[in-house]
Amino acid sequence: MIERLIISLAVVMAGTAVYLLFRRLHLWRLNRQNAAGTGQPLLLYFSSEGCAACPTQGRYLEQLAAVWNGRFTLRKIDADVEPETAVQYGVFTLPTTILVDGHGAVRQINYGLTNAHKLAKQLETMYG
Amino acid sequence: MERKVDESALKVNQAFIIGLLLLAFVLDAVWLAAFVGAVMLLGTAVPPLSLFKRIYQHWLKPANLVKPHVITDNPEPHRFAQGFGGVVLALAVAFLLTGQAVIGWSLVWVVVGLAALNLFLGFCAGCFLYYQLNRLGIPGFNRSPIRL
Repeated sequence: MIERLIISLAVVMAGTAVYLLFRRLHLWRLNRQNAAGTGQPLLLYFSSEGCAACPTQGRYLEQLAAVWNGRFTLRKIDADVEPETAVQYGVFTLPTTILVDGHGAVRQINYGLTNAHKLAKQLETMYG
Repeated sequence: MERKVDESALKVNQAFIIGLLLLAFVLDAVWLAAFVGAVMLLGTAVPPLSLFKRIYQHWLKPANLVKPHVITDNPEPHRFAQGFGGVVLALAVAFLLTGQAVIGWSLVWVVVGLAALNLFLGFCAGCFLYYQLNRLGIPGFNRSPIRL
């Protein structure tokens, strides 16, 4: 039983480590692109017509935009229409939201449906 | 009619599946893996009898331990994903009962991995497969992604 517990812990820890490493590498790769900042946070929202969770994500972003009232720029990217942009940002699941600060540095990547509360917290960290 | 899915119920279901299957592996309890598989298959065939969702509905939600999170989505792809997981677990149990422990427990880990992918990254592999089959026009896969 002890060896099975150790195997389980090792697999869970390895899975977590792979995820964290992947996320870090993703952020690092995006930040190598040296995108120019727009002066205020930019929220890139990758969606597509065939994505089941995207309508809900869209509503969350509408709520967020209403509360934050022009303090960030929202850019919706349809991965079917602009596949090259999705590839450029390494998007592998939809919806994906990417937060870029005013200087053009990518600060957060959210894979999958992300609620307005979490996105608001991420935006707050950008405003210090 | 707007179609709704309580995402919290799905997440509780996935958390139970992951937790119990990990416990089954640690305790080398084939019966527990079989129990989880049976719960998944029963929940697919008769959704109101989905045990883990019932625990959410009747205990976790009223106790305010998990807040409901209702979104617009098709329930069928999620049900298909659960049924797919249940079938993989049934196969796993068959392998385990015939003495092929490595293949059996590997299949259990596949289910754990897919449930974790859904729980932590929001990627439902079974739903993806369902929508691909819908695109191909396979009978029974009638729901296409909701467009608003």
